[in-house]
Amino acid sequence: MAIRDPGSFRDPTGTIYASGDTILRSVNAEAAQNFLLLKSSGAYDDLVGRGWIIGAEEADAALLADLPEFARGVRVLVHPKLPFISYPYEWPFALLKRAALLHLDVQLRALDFGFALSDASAYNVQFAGHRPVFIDIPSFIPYRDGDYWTGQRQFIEQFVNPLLLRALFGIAHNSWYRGALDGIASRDIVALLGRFRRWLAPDILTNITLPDLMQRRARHAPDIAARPARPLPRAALQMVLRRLRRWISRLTPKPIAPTEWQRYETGNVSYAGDEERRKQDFVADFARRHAPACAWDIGCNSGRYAEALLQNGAGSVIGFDTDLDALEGAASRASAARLNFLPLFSDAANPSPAQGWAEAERSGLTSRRNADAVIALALAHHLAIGRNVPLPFVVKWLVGLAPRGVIEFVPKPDPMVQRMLRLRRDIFDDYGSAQFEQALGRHARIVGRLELAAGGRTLYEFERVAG
Amino acid sequence: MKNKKSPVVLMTILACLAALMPTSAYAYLDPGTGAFAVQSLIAAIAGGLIAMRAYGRRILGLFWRSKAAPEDWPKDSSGNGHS
Repeated sequence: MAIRDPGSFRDPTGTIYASGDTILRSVNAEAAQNFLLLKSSGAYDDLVGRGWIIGAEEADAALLADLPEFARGVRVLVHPKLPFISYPYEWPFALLKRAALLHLDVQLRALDFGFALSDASAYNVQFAGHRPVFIDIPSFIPYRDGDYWTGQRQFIEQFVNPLLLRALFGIAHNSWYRGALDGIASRDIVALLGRFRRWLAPDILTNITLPDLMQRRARHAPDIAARPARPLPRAALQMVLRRLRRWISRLTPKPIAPTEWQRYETGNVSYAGDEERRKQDFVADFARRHAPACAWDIGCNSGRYAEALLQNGAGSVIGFDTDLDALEGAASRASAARLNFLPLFSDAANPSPAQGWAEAERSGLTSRRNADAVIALALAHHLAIGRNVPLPFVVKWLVGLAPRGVIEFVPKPDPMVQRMLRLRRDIFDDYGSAQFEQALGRHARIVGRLELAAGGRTLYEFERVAG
Repeated sequence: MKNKKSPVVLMTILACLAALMPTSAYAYLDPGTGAFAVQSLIAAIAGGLIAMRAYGRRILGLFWRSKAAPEDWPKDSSGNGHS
Protein backbone atom coordinates (compact mmCIF):
# COMPACT_ATOMS: atom_id res chain seq x y z
CA MET A 1 0.00 0.00 0.00
CA ALA A 2 1.21 3.46 -0.87
CA ILE A 3 2.40 5.67 1.96
CA ARG A 4 1.57 9.35 2.09
CA ASP A 5 4.65 11.58 2.11
CA PRO A 6 4.58 13.53 5.38
CA GLY A 7 6.13 16.55 3.63
CA SER A 8 3.35 16.81 1.06
CA PHE A 9 0.49 18.85 2.47
CA ARG A 10 1.05 22.52 1.75
CA ASP A 11 -0.22 22.40 -1.82
CA PRO A 12 -3.93 21.53 -1.88
CA THR A 13 -3.78 20.65 -5.59
CA GLY A 14 -1.94 17.39 -5.05
CA THR A 15 -0.58 14.84 -2.60
CA ILE A 16 2.46 12.58 -2.87
CA TYR A 17 2.47 8.88 -2.06
CA ALA A 18 5.42 6.53 -2.15
CA SER A 19 4.74 3.08 -3.59
CA GLY A 20 7.69 0.75 -4.05
CA ASP A 21 9.98 2.18 -6.70
CA THR A 22 7.56 4.83 -7.85
CA ILE A 23 6.12 8.06 -6.58
CA LEU A 24 2.41 8.62 -7.04
CA ARG A 25 0.93 12.08 -7.10
CA SER A 26 -2.82 12.37 -6.84
CA VAL A 27 -3.99 15.73 -8.19
CA ASN A 28 -7.26 17.66 -8.16
CA ALA A 29 -9.19 18.89 -11.20
CA GLU A 30 -7.27 22.16 -11.49
CA ALA A 31 -3.84 20.52 -11.36
CA ALA A 32 -4.97 17.78 -13.76
CA GLN A 33 -6.11 20.42 -16.24
CA ASN A 34 -2.82 22.33 -15.87
CA PHE A 35 -0.84 19.15 -16.45
CA LEU A 36 -2.73 18.46 -19.69
CA LEU A 37 -2.05 22.04 -20.80
CA LEU A 38 1.63 21.69 -19.91
CA LYS A 39 1.84 18.60 -22.11
CA SER A 40 -0.15 19.98 -25.04
CA SER A 41 1.83 23.24 -25.04
CA GLY A 42 5.07 21.37 -25.64
CA ALA A 43 6.56 22.76 -22.42
CA TYR A 44 6.60 19.37 -20.71
CA ASP A 45 8.52 17.62 -23.51
CA ASP A 46 10.92 20.53 -23.82
CA LEU A 47 11.73 20.66 -20.11
CA VAL A 48 11.95 16.88 -19.67
CA GLY A 49 14.14 16.72 -22.79
CA ARG A 50 16.56 19.16 -21.19
CA GLY A 51 16.60 17.07 -18.01
CA TRP A 52 15.32 20.06 -16.05
CA ILE A 53 12.10 18.58 -14.66
CA ILE A 54 11.15 15.12 -13.48
CA GLY A 55 9.08 12.90 -15.77
CA ALA A 56 5.38 12.34 -15.08
CA GLU A 57 3.04 9.79 -16.61
CA GLU A 58 -0.51 8.82 -15.88
CA ALA A 59 -0.80 5.92 -13.48
CA ASP A 60 -2.07 2.61 -14.85
CA ALA A 61 -4.73 0.50 -13.15
CA ALA A 62 -2.20 -1.61 -11.23
CA LEU A 63 -0.63 1.45 -9.64
CA LEU A 64 -4.01 3.05 -8.99
CA ALA A 65 -5.01 -0.03 -7.04
CA ASP A 66 -2.15 0.72 -4.69
CA LEU A 67 -3.79 3.97 -3.61
CA PRO A 68 -6.70 4.03 -1.19
CA GLU A 69 -9.96 5.05 -2.91
CA PHE A 70 -10.20 8.43 -1.16
CA ALA A 71 -6.68 9.36 -2.24
CA ARG A 72 -7.08 8.94 -5.98
CA GLY A 73 -8.07 12.50 -6.77
CA VAL A 74 -9.08 13.44 -10.29
CA ARG A 75 -5.94 12.06 -11.83
CA VAL A 76 -2.89 10.21 -10.55
CA LEU A 77 0.57 10.89 -11.94
CA VAL A 78 3.58 8.60 -11.62
CA HIS A 79 7.11 9.89 -11.17
CA PRO A 80 10.32 7.88 -11.07
CA LYS A 81 11.61 7.61 -7.51
CA LEU A 82 14.76 9.60 -6.83
CA PRO A 83 17.38 7.52 -5.01
CA PHE A 84 17.77 10.09 -2.25
CA ILE A 85 15.96 13.20 -1.07
CA SER A 86 18.24 15.95 0.18
CA TYR A 87 17.41 19.36 1.60
CA PRO A 88 18.82 22.82 0.88
CA TYR A 89 20.36 22.98 4.34
CA GLU A 90 22.42 19.94 3.41
CA TRP A 91 23.63 21.31 0.08
CA PRO A 92 26.99 22.99 -0.18
CA PHE A 93 27.05 26.46 -1.77
CA ALA A 94 27.72 25.11 -5.27
CA LEU A 95 24.64 22.89 -5.20
CA LEU A 96 22.34 25.57 -3.79
CA LYS A 97 23.55 27.87 -6.55
CA ARG A 98 22.92 25.22 -9.20
CA ALA A 99 19.44 24.66 -7.81
CA ALA A 100 18.72 28.42 -7.86
CA LEU A 101 19.85 28.75 -11.47
CA LEU A 102 17.81 25.72 -12.47
CA HIS A 103 14.71 27.23 -10.88
CA LEU A 104 15.16 30.44 -12.88
CA ASP A 105 15.96 28.54 -16.09
CA VAL A 106 12.84 26.42 -15.71
CA GLN A 107 10.76 29.50 -15.03
CA LEU A 108 12.13 31.47 -18.01
CA ARG A 109 11.72 28.50 -20.34
CA ALA A 110 8.19 27.78 -19.10
CA LEU A 111 7.28 31.42 -19.68
CA ASP A 112 8.09 30.96 -23.37
CA PHE A 113 5.34 28.35 -23.45
CA GLY A 114 2.92 30.45 -21.42
CA PHE A 115 3.51 28.93 -17.99
CA ALA A 116 4.50 30.38 -14.64
CA LEU A 117 5.60 28.67 -11.43
CA SER A 118 3.18 29.08 -8.54
CA ASP A 119 5.92 29.03 -5.90
CA ALA A 120 9.68 28.96 -5.51
CA SER A 121 10.33 26.40 -2.81
CA ALA A 122 13.93 25.20 -2.77
CA TYR A 123 12.62 21.82 -1.59
CA ASN A 124 11.11 21.39 -5.07
CA VAL A 125 14.59 20.96 -6.50
CA GLN A 126 16.33 17.65 -5.91
CA PHE A 127 19.61 16.23 -7.07
CA ALA A 128 20.16 13.17 -9.26
CA GLY A 129 23.87 12.81 -8.67
CA HIS A 130 25.31 16.30 -9.15
CA ARG A 131 22.49 17.40 -11.49
CA PRO A 132 19.54 19.38 -10.14
CA VAL A 133 16.04 18.48 -11.26
CA PHE A 134 12.76 20.27 -10.59
CA ILE A 135 10.22 17.84 -9.13
CA ASP A 136 6.99 19.72 -8.44
CA ILE A 137 4.91 19.36 -11.60
CA PRO A 138 1.72 21.00 -10.18
CA SER A 139 3.75 24.20 -9.66
CA PHE A 140 3.33 24.90 -13.39
CA ILE A 141 0.30 27.13 -13.81
CA PRO A 142 -0.87 29.03 -16.89
CA TYR A 143 0.68 32.49 -17.18
CA ARG A 144 -1.55 35.44 -18.03
CA ASP A 145 -0.04 38.63 -19.37
CA GLY A 146 0.48 41.10 -16.57
CA ASP A 147 0.81 38.44 -13.84
CA TYR A 148 3.21 39.09 -10.99
CA TRP A 149 5.88 36.64 -9.88
CA THR A 150 4.17 35.20 -6.83
CA GLY A 151 7.19 33.21 -5.72
CA GLN A 152 9.64 36.10 -5.58
CA ARG A 153 9.86 36.48 -1.81
CA GLN A 154 10.16 32.73 -1.42
CA PHE A 155 12.86 32.57 -4.07
CA ILE A 156 14.84 35.31 -2.38
CA GLU A 157 14.55 33.79 1.09
CA GLN A 158 15.08 30.16 0.09
CA PHE A 159 17.80 30.61 -2.54
CA VAL A 160 19.30 34.07 -2.72
CA ASN A 161 19.68 35.04 0.94
CA PRO A 162 21.41 31.77 1.91
CA LEU A 163 23.81 32.22 -1.02
CA LEU A 164 24.48 35.84 -0.03
CA LEU A 165 25.25 34.82 3.51
CA ARG A 166 28.25 32.90 2.23
CA ALA A 167 29.14 35.07 -0.76
CA LEU A 168 29.10 38.37 1.14
CA PHE A 169 29.87 37.45 4.72
CA GLY A 170 31.62 34.07 4.60
CA ILE A 171 28.88 32.53 6.77
CA ALA A 172 27.76 29.05 5.72
CA HIS A 173 24.00 28.91 5.17
CA ASN A 174 23.56 25.34 6.35
CA SER A 175 23.04 25.64 10.12
CA TRP A 176 20.96 28.80 9.81
CA TYR A 177 18.78 27.29 7.09
CA ARG A 178 18.30 24.11 9.09
CA GLY A 179 16.90 26.22 11.89
CA ALA A 180 14.81 28.33 9.53
CA LEU A 181 13.24 25.81 7.17
CA ASP A 182 11.42 28.43 5.12
CA GLY A 183 14.66 30.19 4.28
CA ILE A 184 16.68 33.09 5.60
CA ALA A 185 14.58 36.21 6.13
CA SER A 186 15.46 39.32 4.14
CA ARG A 187 15.35 41.42 7.29
CA ASP A 188 18.24 39.36 8.65
CA ILE A 189 20.30 40.03 5.53
CA VAL A 190 19.40 43.74 5.68
CA ALA A 191 20.53 43.81 9.31
CA LEU A 192 23.87 42.31 8.31
CA LEU A 193 24.43 44.62 5.34
CA GLY A 194 26.08 47.96 5.85
CA ARG A 195 24.13 51.12 5.02
CA PHE A 196 26.20 51.64 1.91
CA ARG A 197 25.68 48.24 0.34
CA ARG A 198 22.06 48.10 1.41
CA TRP A 199 21.18 51.10 -0.77
CA LEU A 200 23.82 51.25 -3.46
CA ALA A 201 24.06 47.71 -4.80
CA PRO A 202 21.19 47.61 -7.33
CA ASP A 203 20.46 43.87 -7.07
CA ILE A 204 20.41 44.00 -3.29
CA LEU A 205 18.26 47.13 -3.32
CA THR A 206 15.59 45.75 -5.65
CA ASN A 207 15.49 42.20 -4.32
CA ILE A 208 16.14 42.61 -0.62
CA THR A 209 16.25 46.13 0.81
CA LEU A 210 13.16 47.57 -0.90
CA PRO A 211 10.88 44.52 -0.50
CA ASP A 212 11.89 44.38 3.16
CA LEU A 213 11.23 48.09 3.62
CA MET A 214 7.82 47.86 1.94
CA GLN A 215 6.97 44.84 4.01
CA ARG A 216 7.67 46.77 7.19
CA ARG A 217 5.76 49.81 6.01
CA ALA A 218 2.78 47.64 5.09
CA ARG A 219 2.76 46.19 8.58
CA HIS A 220 2.30 49.62 10.12
CA ALA A 221 -0.08 51.02 7.54
CA PRO A 222 -3.84 51.26 8.18
CA ASP A 223 -5.96 48.50 6.68
CA ILE A 224 -7.42 50.05 3.53
CA ALA A 225 -8.61 48.05 0.56
CA ALA A 226 -5.90 47.72 -2.06
CA ARG A 227 -6.29 49.22 -5.49
CA PRO A 228 -5.97 46.75 -8.35
CA ALA A 229 -2.36 46.03 -9.21
CA ARG A 230 -0.86 47.43 -12.37
CA PRO A 231 -0.09 44.68 -14.86
CA LEU A 232 3.57 43.67 -14.96
CA PRO A 233 4.54 43.36 -18.63
CA ARG A 234 6.02 40.01 -19.63
CA ALA A 235 9.23 41.71 -20.75
CA ALA A 236 9.61 43.29 -17.31
CA LEU A 237 9.09 39.92 -15.61
CA GLN A 238 11.69 38.37 -17.90
CA MET A 239 14.07 41.21 -17.11
CA VAL A 240 13.64 40.63 -13.36
CA LEU A 241 14.31 36.89 -13.79
CA ARG A 242 17.28 37.37 -16.12
CA ARG A 243 18.91 39.99 -13.89
CA LEU A 244 18.53 37.68 -10.94
CA ARG A 245 20.02 34.84 -12.93
CA ARG A 246 23.03 36.92 -13.91
CA TRP A 247 23.52 38.09 -10.34
CA ILE A 248 23.38 34.57 -8.89
CA SER A 249 25.66 33.12 -11.56
CA ARG A 250 28.33 35.59 -10.45
CA LEU A 251 28.16 34.75 -6.74
CA THR A 252 31.13 32.83 -5.41
CA PRO A 253 31.57 31.31 -1.96
CA LYS A 254 33.85 33.25 0.34
CA PRO A 255 36.37 30.72 1.71
CA ILE A 256 35.76 29.61 5.26
CA ALA A 257 39.24 29.36 6.73
CA PRO A 258 41.07 27.25 7.68
CA THR A 259 40.78 25.12 4.60
CA GLU A 260 42.85 22.30 5.98
CA TRP A 261 40.73 19.49 4.57
CA GLN A 262 40.57 20.88 1.08
CA ARG A 263 44.32 20.47 0.84
CA TYR A 264 44.00 17.00 2.29
CA GLU A 265 44.97 15.37 -0.97
CA THR A 266 48.05 17.34 -1.86
CA GLY A 267 49.46 18.41 1.47
CA ASN A 268 48.38 15.47 3.58
CA VAL A 269 50.89 14.42 6.21
CA SER A 270 48.91 11.44 7.49
CA TYR A 271 50.01 9.07 4.74
CA ALA A 272 53.56 8.24 3.66
CA GLY A 273 54.87 6.57 0.51
CA ASP A 274 52.30 4.41 -1.23
CA GLU A 275 49.90 4.22 1.72
CA GLU A 276 47.33 6.38 0.05
CA ARG A 277 47.42 4.33 -3.15
CA ARG A 278 47.01 1.11 -1.15
CA LYS A 279 44.08 2.64 0.68
CA GLN A 280 42.46 3.57 -2.61
CA ASP A 281 43.09 0.06 -4.00
CA PHE A 282 41.40 -1.46 -0.93
CA VAL A 283 38.33 0.73 -1.46
CA ALA A 284 38.31 0.04 -5.22
CA ASP A 285 38.54 -3.71 -4.63
CA PHE A 286 35.66 -3.52 -2.16
CA ALA A 287 33.53 -1.71 -4.76
CA ARG A 288 34.40 -4.22 -7.48
CA ARG A 289 33.39 -7.19 -5.37
CA HIS A 290 30.08 -5.79 -4.15
CA ALA A 291 29.06 -3.23 -6.80
CA PRO A 292 26.75 -1.36 -4.39
CA ALA A 293 23.84 0.42 -6.07
CA CYS A 294 24.29 3.24 -3.60
CA ALA A 295 27.18 3.84 -1.23
CA TRP A 296 27.46 6.42 1.53
CA ASP A 297 30.82 8.02 2.13
CA ILE A 298 30.86 9.46 5.64
CA GLY A 299 33.58 12.09 5.84
CA CYS A 300 33.84 12.25 2.05
CA ASN A 301 36.17 15.26 1.97
CA SER A 302 36.69 16.31 -1.65
CA GLY A 303 35.38 13.00 -2.96
CA ARG A 304 38.53 11.13 -3.91
CA TYR A 305 37.32 7.80 -2.53
CA ALA A 306 33.78 8.39 -3.72
CA GLU A 307 35.24 8.63 -7.20
CA ALA A 308 37.19 5.41 -6.63
CA LEU A 309 33.95 3.68 -5.62
CA LEU A 310 32.13 4.95 -8.70
CA GLN A 311 34.91 3.96 -11.06
CA ASN A 312 34.82 0.44 -9.70
CA GLY A 313 31.19 -0.51 -9.85
CA ALA A 314 29.24 1.61 -7.38
CA GLY A 315 26.05 2.99 -8.93
CA SER A 316 25.90 6.19 -6.95
CA VAL A 317 27.60 7.72 -3.94
CA ILE A 318 26.24 10.16 -1.41
CA GLY A 319 29.00 11.85 0.51
CA PHE A 320 28.79 13.67 3.83
CA ASP A 321 31.25 16.07 5.36
CA THR A 322 31.37 19.12 7.60
CA ASP A 323 34.16 20.92 5.78
CA LEU A 324 32.41 23.33 3.44
CA ASP A 325 35.44 24.13 1.36
CA ALA A 326 36.18 20.44 0.85
CA LEU A 327 32.53 20.02 -0.18
CA GLU A 328 32.95 22.73 -2.80
CA GLY A 329 35.87 20.69 -4.15
CA ALA A 330 33.71 17.57 -4.09
CA ALA A 331 30.90 19.35 -5.98
CA SER A 332 33.26 20.51 -8.71
CA ARG A 333 34.83 17.05 -8.91
CA ALA A 334 31.35 15.55 -9.35
CA SER A 335 30.36 17.89 -12.16
CA ALA A 336 33.76 17.90 -13.89
CA ALA A 337 33.90 14.10 -14.07
CA ARG A 338 30.08 13.77 -14.41
CA LEU A 339 29.99 11.51 -11.38
CA ASN A 340 26.79 10.18 -9.87
CA PHE A 341 28.01 11.69 -6.63
CA LEU A 342 26.08 13.97 -4.30
CA PRO A 343 28.26 15.65 -1.67
CA LEU A 344 26.25 16.96 1.29
CA PHE A 345 26.92 18.92 4.43
CA SER A 346 26.36 16.75 7.46
CA ASP A 347 27.96 16.57 10.86
CA ALA A 348 28.07 12.92 11.88
CA ALA A 349 27.75 14.00 15.51
CA ASN A 350 24.63 16.02 14.73
CA PRO A 351 22.93 14.79 11.55
CA SER A 352 19.77 16.39 10.11
CA PRO A 353 16.82 15.68 12.42
CA ALA A 354 13.20 15.00 11.51
CA GLN A 355 11.64 18.46 11.63
CA GLY A 356 9.06 20.85 10.26
CA TRP A 357 5.33 20.32 10.71
CA ALA A 358 4.59 17.49 13.14
CA GLU A 359 8.32 16.83 13.19
CA ALA A 360 7.86 14.82 10.02
CA GLU A 361 7.82 17.31 7.15
CA ARG A 362 11.56 16.96 6.57
CA SER A 363 13.03 13.57 7.39
CA GLY A 364 16.02 12.90 9.54
CA LEU A 365 19.12 11.53 7.90
CA THR A 366 18.93 8.03 9.34
CA SER A 367 15.38 7.49 8.10
CA ARG A 368 16.53 8.40 4.58
CA ARG A 369 19.31 5.85 4.51
CA ASN A 370 19.39 3.85 1.30
CA ALA A 371 22.97 2.64 1.18
CA ASP A 372 24.08 -0.86 0.26
CA ALA A 373 27.54 0.01 1.48
CA VAL A 374 29.19 2.62 3.65
CA ILE A 375 32.75 3.83 3.83
CA ALA A 376 34.09 5.88 6.73
CA LEU A 377 37.74 6.64 6.14
CA ALA A 378 39.71 8.43 8.82
CA LEU A 379 36.49 9.52 10.50
CA ALA A 380 36.10 7.53 13.71
CA HIS A 381 38.87 9.36 15.61
CA HIS A 382 37.27 12.74 14.86
CA LEU A 383 34.08 11.54 16.53
CA ALA A 384 35.67 9.49 19.32
CA ILE A 385 38.40 11.93 20.31
CA GLY A 386 37.31 15.20 18.69
CA ARG A 387 33.72 14.96 19.91
CA ASN A 388 33.94 12.60 22.87
CA VAL A 389 31.57 10.02 21.37
CA PRO A 390 32.54 6.64 22.86
CA LEU A 391 34.21 4.45 20.23
CA PRO A 392 31.63 1.62 20.47
CA PHE A 393 28.85 4.18 19.79
CA VAL A 394 30.64 5.38 16.67
CA VAL A 395 31.14 1.83 15.40
CA LYS A 396 27.52 0.86 16.09
CA TRP A 397 26.21 3.92 14.26
CA LEU A 398 28.41 3.31 11.20
CA VAL A 399 27.54 -0.38 10.99
CA GLY A 400 23.86 0.53 11.26
CA LEU A 401 24.02 2.63 8.09
CA ALA A 402 24.61 -0.22 5.62
CA PRO A 403 24.98 -4.01 5.55
CA ARG A 404 28.65 -3.80 4.60
CA GLY A 405 31.42 -1.31 4.41
CA VAL A 406 34.95 -0.15 5.04
CA ILE A 407 36.05 1.69 8.19
CA GLU A 408 39.49 3.12 8.70
CA PHE A 409 40.80 3.11 12.24
CA VAL A 410 43.46 5.63 13.24
CA PRO A 411 45.34 4.55 16.39
CA LYS A 412 46.47 6.88 19.14
CA PRO A 413 50.16 7.27 18.20
CA ASP A 414 49.09 8.68 14.79
CA PRO A 415 50.30 12.30 14.34
CA MET A 416 46.73 13.48 13.66
CA VAL A 417 45.39 11.96 16.88
CA GLN A 418 48.37 13.33 18.77
CA ARG A 419 47.62 16.77 17.40
CA MET A 420 44.02 16.46 18.54
CA LEU A 421 45.24 15.53 22.01
CA ARG A 422 47.89 18.22 22.24
CA LEU A 423 45.74 20.78 23.98
CA ARG A 424 43.61 18.50 26.09
CA ARG A 425 43.91 15.78 28.64
CA ASP A 426 43.89 12.26 27.26
CA ILE A 427 40.72 10.80 28.76
CA PHE A 428 40.46 8.16 26.06
CA ASP A 429 41.77 5.03 27.73
CA ASP A 430 39.30 2.92 25.79
CA TYR A 431 40.50 4.14 22.41
CA GLY A 432 42.64 1.53 20.71
CA SER A 433 42.75 -1.04 17.92
CA ALA A 434 41.74 -3.89 20.22
CA GLN A 435 38.68 -2.00 21.50
CA PHE A 436 37.78 -1.01 17.95
CA GLU A 437 37.92 -4.59 16.71
CA GLN A 438 35.93 -5.75 19.71
CA ALA A 439 33.24 -3.14 19.08
CA LEU A 440 33.07 -3.99 15.39
CA GLY A 441 32.90 -7.69 16.19
CA ARG A 442 29.78 -7.08 18.27
CA HIS A 443 27.74 -6.05 15.22
CA ALA A 444 29.64 -7.35 12.22
CA ARG A 445 32.07 -9.87 10.85
CA ILE A 446 35.48 -8.51 9.88
CA VAL A 447 36.07 -9.89 6.37
CA GLY A 448 39.15 -7.93 5.37
CA ARG A 449 41.91 -5.98 7.08
CA LEU A 450 44.76 -3.88 5.72
CA GLU A 451 47.38 -2.23 7.88
CA LEU A 452 48.66 0.77 5.95
CA ALA A 453 51.72 1.02 8.21
CA ALA A 454 52.85 -1.33 10.95
CA GLY A 455 50.87 -0.39 14.06
CA GLY A 456 49.38 2.55 12.16
CA ARG A 457 46.20 3.35 10.28
CA THR A 458 44.22 0.22 9.43
CA LEU A 459 41.33 -0.46 7.05
CA TYR A 460 38.60 -2.93 7.99
CA GLU A 461 36.01 -4.38 5.68
CA PHE A 462 32.94 -5.56 7.58
CA GLU A 463 29.76 -7.45 6.92
CA ARG A 464 26.92 -6.70 9.29
CA VAL A 465 25.56 -9.61 11.28
CA ALA A 466 21.77 -9.74 11.36
CA GLY A 467 20.12 -8.94 14.67
CA MET B 1 27.58 49.89 -21.71
CA LYS B 2 23.82 49.95 -21.71
CA ASN B 3 23.77 47.14 -19.16
CA LYS B 4 26.17 48.96 -16.88
CA LYS B 5 24.11 52.12 -16.88
CA SER B 6 20.60 50.75 -16.59
CA PRO B 7 20.81 49.40 -12.99
CA VAL B 8 21.89 52.79 -11.70
CA VAL B 9 18.97 54.47 -13.41
CA LEU B 10 16.57 51.77 -12.28
CA MET B 11 17.89 51.96 -8.74
CA THR B 12 17.49 55.73 -8.57
CA ILE B 13 13.96 55.61 -9.95
CA LEU B 14 13.02 52.84 -7.53
CA ALA B 15 14.51 54.66 -4.57
CA CYS B 16 12.65 57.88 -5.47
CA LEU B 17 9.38 56.01 -5.98
CA ALA B 18 9.86 54.12 -2.74
CA ALA B 19 10.17 57.37 -0.85
CA LEU B 20 7.11 58.88 -2.53
CA MET B 21 4.88 55.85 -2.56
CA PRO B 22 1.74 55.82 -0.47
CA THR B 23 1.87 52.77 1.77
CA SER B 24 -1.89 52.43 2.10
CA ALA B 25 -2.06 50.81 -1.33
CA TYR B 26 -0.37 47.77 0.15
CA ALA B 27 -2.02 47.86 3.49
CA TYR B 28 -3.25 44.30 3.29
CA LEU B 29 -0.77 41.99 4.85
CA ASP B 30 0.61 38.86 3.32
CA PRO B 31 4.13 37.52 3.40
CA GLY B 32 4.88 38.67 -0.14
CA THR B 33 3.65 42.24 0.24
CA GLY B 34 7.10 43.77 -0.02
CA ALA B 35 8.08 41.76 -3.08
CA PHE B 36 4.74 42.59 -4.72
CA ALA B 37 5.16 46.28 -4.02
CA VAL B 38 8.52 46.30 -5.75
CA GLN B 39 7.12 44.40 -8.72
CA SER B 40 4.34 46.94 -8.85
CA LEU B 41 6.97 49.68 -9.03
CA ILE B 42 8.70 47.86 -11.84
CA ALA B 43 5.31 47.50 -13.53
CA ALA B 44 4.75 51.23 -13.17
CA ILE B 45 8.16 52.01 -14.63
CA ALA B 46 7.68 49.55 -17.47
CA GLY B 47 4.22 50.99 -18.10
CA GLY B 48 5.70 54.48 -18.06
CA LEU B 49 8.40 53.48 -20.52
CA ILE B 50 5.84 51.94 -22.85
CA ALA B 51 3.68 55.08 -22.62
CA MET B 52 6.70 57.29 -23.24
CA ARG B 53 7.69 55.22 -26.23
CA ALA B 54 4.17 55.40 -27.65
CA TYR B 55 4.03 59.14 -26.97
CA GLY B 56 7.48 59.58 -28.49
CA ARG B 57 6.37 57.72 -31.58
CA ARG B 58 3.40 60.01 -31.92
CA ILE B 59 5.62 63.06 -31.69
CA LEU B 60 8.07 61.48 -34.10
CA GLY B 61 5.15 60.54 -36.32
CA LEU B 62 3.99 64.18 -36.43
CA PHE B 63 7.52 65.22 -37.17
CA TRP B 64 7.85 62.69 -39.95
CA ARG B 65 4.56 63.60 -41.49
CA SER B 66 5.38 67.28 -41.56
CA LYS B 67 8.67 66.46 -43.21
CA ALA B 68 7.22 63.97 -45.64
CA ALA B 69 4.30 66.13 -46.58
CA PRO B 70 6.12 68.46 -49.01
CA GLU B 71 7.18 65.44 -51.08
CA ASP B 72 3.52 64.46 -51.42
CA TRP B 73 2.38 67.80 -52.70
CA PRO B 74 3.42 67.40 -56.29
CA LYS B 75 1.68 64.03 -56.36
CA ASP B 76 -1.60 65.63 -55.38
CA SER B 77 -3.99 64.26 -57.96
CA SER B 78 -6.83 66.68 -57.26
CA GLY B 79 -4.61 69.45 -58.47
CA ASN B 80 -5.94 71.97 -55.99
CA GLY B 81 -2.60 72.22 -54.21
CA HIS B 82 -3.90 70.71 -50.96
CA SER B 83 -3.58 67.22 -49.66
